[in-house]
This record gives sequence, structure tokens and C-alpha cells, in this order.
Amino acid sequence: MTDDLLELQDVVVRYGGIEAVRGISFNVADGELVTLIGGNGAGKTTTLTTISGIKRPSGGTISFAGERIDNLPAHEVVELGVCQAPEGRRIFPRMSVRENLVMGAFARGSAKQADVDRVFDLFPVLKERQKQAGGTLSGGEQQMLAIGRALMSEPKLLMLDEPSMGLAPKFVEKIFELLGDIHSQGTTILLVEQNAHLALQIADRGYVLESGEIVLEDDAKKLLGNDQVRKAYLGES
Amino acid sequence: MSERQRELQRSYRERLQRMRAQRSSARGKLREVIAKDAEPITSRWRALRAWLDEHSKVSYPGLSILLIAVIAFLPLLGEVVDLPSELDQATSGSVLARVMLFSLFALGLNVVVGFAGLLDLGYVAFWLMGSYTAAILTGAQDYSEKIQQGASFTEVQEPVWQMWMWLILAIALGVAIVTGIALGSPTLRLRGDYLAIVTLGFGEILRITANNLTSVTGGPRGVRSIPHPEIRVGDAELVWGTLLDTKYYWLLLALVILWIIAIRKLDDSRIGRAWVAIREDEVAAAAMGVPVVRMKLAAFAIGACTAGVGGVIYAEQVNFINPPTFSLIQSILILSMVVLGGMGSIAGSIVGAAALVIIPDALLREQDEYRFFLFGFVLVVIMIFRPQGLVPSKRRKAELVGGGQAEILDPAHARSS
Repeated sequence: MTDDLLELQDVVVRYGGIEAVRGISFNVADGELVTLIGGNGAGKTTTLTTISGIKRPSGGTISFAGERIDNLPAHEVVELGVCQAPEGRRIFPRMSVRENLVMGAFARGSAKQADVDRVFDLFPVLKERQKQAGGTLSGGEQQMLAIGRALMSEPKLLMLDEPSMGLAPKFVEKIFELLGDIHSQGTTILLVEQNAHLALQIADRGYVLESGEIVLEDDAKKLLGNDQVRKAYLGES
Repeated sequence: MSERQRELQRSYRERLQRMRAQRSSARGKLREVIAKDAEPITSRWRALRAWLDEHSKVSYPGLSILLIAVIAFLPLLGEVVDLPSELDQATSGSVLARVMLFSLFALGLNVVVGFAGLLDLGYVAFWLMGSYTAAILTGAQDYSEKIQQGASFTEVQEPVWQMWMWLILAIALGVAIVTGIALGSPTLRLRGDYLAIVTLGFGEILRITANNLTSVTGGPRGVRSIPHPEIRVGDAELVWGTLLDTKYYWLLLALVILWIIAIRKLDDSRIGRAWVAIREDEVAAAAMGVPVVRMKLAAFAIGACTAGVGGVIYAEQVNFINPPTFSLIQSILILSMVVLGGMGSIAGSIVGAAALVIIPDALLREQDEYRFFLFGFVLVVIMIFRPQGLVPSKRRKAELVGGGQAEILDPAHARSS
């Protein structure tokens, strides 16, 4: 198990008395695209924010590249190379697109033009709008900006929290296509999604989360064919 | 469909089109009017700057030196030309020294409130720490206590300035920073209103402590005879004194200039960017690797040390301090200066301080009882008609007037002026 980039073991997260995550364990190997799927309140976002160090686990261990990160402050986790595009995009609405991207490189020190250009290559529409305030972009463009911003930190592990949320189907497909590209260029990705169908199509492996526990784990293709998953998440009977 | 029905439909469509056309033209006109109303100040100003860039041979550093020279000359204006009594009062050394003192405070609080977006209602606490540090370390508190106990003026020596006392400035700066961090570490995890209330309480706690801790601070009787500073190099000497407010004005002006340079540098730096990010979206900032609590603490500490330094100079200038000097209303006053001038704007802090010192002290001397009424009234009016402040920072203006002005947010222009 030495090639595991990220490993969670029996992680428990509480909000006051409520256990949102009840002892989950999973791992992401270097170069993989792993997806966590599950419905509302399954604990997906909580898991991500806990890995980021924004929320503290009340039990279990999280390690990244063999080192424990569950007791590190959030900014040190980012410096290690774990970056997330948070739920609801959360771009900086009154900074320009370019400033948003530059903020993404905060943990590394300063951003170079080349880094910004790389993101612009990936998302040409951002280049067109680079001087525009982030808040004036459409939802899909904001999601691209959020992903681009996370990429600016040159993460070893990119975590995405529901990139399809609130987007038109056309945009969702576009985003997922780009995620596939980013992954094939060598970035390890942990993708949290409600849209199980799309997520499983681009992922290598998947975990199904329900009420804070992992109920299923398998290759993405097998999960796509799994009856339980089809019933619960793909809307088929 | 009958002929009649078709007729009706057509006429209805025409009417609808007419209405739409009318409405859109009205909306267009309205937009024009609004644009005209919103544009002039900024566009005229931009045009002026462009014109200056093109036609003047003076560079911006040259201009700022000229500006500083003019400002430094202000207190001497009354000796050169005859001024009406109000203006004479407004340019007197004592009023101008107060303007500079409060400019310094406003600059410091602006870092906390304007840059980092933390509402601090107990800012006076750091001023108090600075002033009392000076009072105790110069020996003035000890002297005051002995006099109080009935020692005759011949028995005990009135404290005098010694060279090493410049150190006090540095010590007070340190004390204020430590106080700021001590207050900040447990409270900066709070947000918005909660932070405001805790800081407000902190300011009051320090004032009441100063009042009750008689053995250290002298309690309600206060501290007197805090010595004036001096600089002696060989035979050359520069002495500050009781009726030498103009000299204090220059001393404070020098500090203000120093602070402006430092704060501009900070605002342009990585720390400045982190503050903007925290103000915009704290969670996103944390996700980008901004050490949120540490950056807030930095803002708090910078604000605190500014007030600490100002507090030392204040204590030395007025010679006498007691706890009521540091009441809540001072915190509110400084906050009003920052808000009036424009949160996040360095020039705004100074304009705000100048306005709120000069207007009541020089122009409304006769209407003393109405001071706070007018004060509140002016603030309300400003908040309704110019919420971004008198000299807004470009970014803050975009935040308050509504985002979307891409050109304003172009990073090349986005530093607060």
C-alpha cells in the first residue's frame, strides 16, 4: 500500500453531538481518479473539508504520501499539495478572474504567467474574461474558475466537491470532459458527486457513501453495473 | 379563426410591441442618467490624472513631496496671511496635531476594519496600552503617586526625558502587539457581530482595569508630568514642549508618512492579497491555503502597534492621562473616521480623521452641545448617499456599489489609493 497518495482510516467527524462521518476508510493511489458518491447528507462534503484540514476529525487518521495530515492546519495541507475546489464554487466574487487564479497559487508563493496561461489553455473562456469580476461569470464559468484556481496550486491531489451542482447539462458534460483531460495529464483526483452516472464514467474507482458510512466500493465500471447503485443513484428501477 | 379575432390579435401584438419599445427606451434613458450620475467623479478624476501624466514634468514622487511640504507648512499659514478665525483655528498647531494623531489611529484601524474586514470596537484599548506604557516607564506614574501622598515638589524630582526613552516607543509598540495578539488569538475565530462585541468588551475591561488597578496605573487620579521628548545630538537640540503643538504636528506627520509607506507596501504584498481573500470569502481563502487566523492576527497586531505608538506620543503631548480619556466613544470616533473616509482606503483614513477633528474642533466650536447630534446626522447622510466613503478604495467601492466593474478590478489599478 505504499503507492497510496491519500489514505483515510476509521475517520470520524462530529458536528456537536451529531456524527456526520462514522469511521470511514478509503484510499486514493497516485494517478487515480476516485469518486465518492452518495445522496444529500451522506457526509461527502464533510469528508473533503476534513481532508483539507478545515474541519478536524474526532477520530481516525488521514495520511497523505505516508505522512499524517489530520492534525495539520488547513494552509499546511494545501502547501503539501492537497487542494480543493470547494462546494458551491466559492470563487472570490469581486476579484477579477485573473486575481482569482493568482490567489490559487497563494500557498506556493507567487504565480507565474506560465501557470496562468496553462489554466487559460484548459479553459479558454477564462482568458476572454480575465479582467471581469468573478461574480459576473455564469455558473459554469465560475466552476471552471474554481477548478482552474485549485489547479494553480499545482496540487498532487485535486479534490472537487460537486462540480456539477446547479449547472446546465451541457456545462456538466463539458466540465467532466475537462476533468478527464486533467486526470489524463497526470493529476490525481478525488471527485465528490451526486451525479453518480457521470462521475462513475470518468472515474477509476468509486466509493458509495450513505449516512456517513461507506456501503460499497468497487471499480467504477462495476459500480455502474451494480443493481443497488442503479436503483439508488441512477434512477433506474 | 375569424377575421375579427385576427384583427384583435394583431392590434394586441402591436400594442405590446409599442409598450416594449417605450419601456426599453425609458430604461435606456434611466440607465444613461444613472451612468451620468455615477461616472463624472471617477472619469473626471481619471481624465485629470491622464492629463497630469501627459502634461506635467513632475513625477508622482515629486508630487507627493510637494504635497507633504504643503501639509507641513499648514500651521505656519496663519503667520503669513490673515485668515478668517475659523480657518485660523483649523490650521492651528493643536488642531492639526490632533488631526495627525487621529490619522495615525485611523490608519491603524483601517488595516483591521478596512483591509482584513474585522470589526474592532475596542481599538482604544491599544491606545491606552501605549499611553500607560509611556506613563509608567518614564517614571511619571511613580512621581504622581508620591506627590499624591503629600511629598513636596522639592523632595521628589519631576521626571525628565532621557535619551534611552526613545526605547519607550519601541517597548510600547511591543506591548501593544502583545496585547493585540493576546486579545486576538482566542477571539479572531469569531465572526462579525460576535467579534465586535468581544472587542468592545475588551476595550471597556482595560479602561476599568486602569481605573481600579491603582498601584500600577494610579487609578482615577491619573498620571501627570509625563515628560516631553527631546532629541540632542551634540549641541543641536530639538525639544518638544507644552505650547509647542506645531512641533508635535510635525513629529506625528513624520510618523503618519512612515506608516502610509509601510501600509501601502503591506497592502500590495502577499499579506494584502490574503486579507482581500479573507474579506471576500473566508472558507475559500482557507481552501486556497491562506492561514486565515494568522493573517487576521497580523492585521490585529499591526493595528494595535499603530495605536500603541500614537498612544505614547499622545501621553507625552498632553502630559496627563486618566482612564476616562480612553472611553468607548474614542473607539467609535476612530471607526467613524475610517468609515467616513472609506474603508480600506489609506487616503480616506486621513480625510476622515481631518474631517472629524477639524469640523467639531474648529468649525463648530460655538455649537458644542450639538456636536454628537450633527456627527450622527452627517454619518447617516454619508451612509445613505456615499456608502463607500469620501475617498473610497477602488476595490471596496466595487464591493459596496455592486460588483461587475471589471475595469475597476483590473489588478493594475486595483490597489487602494
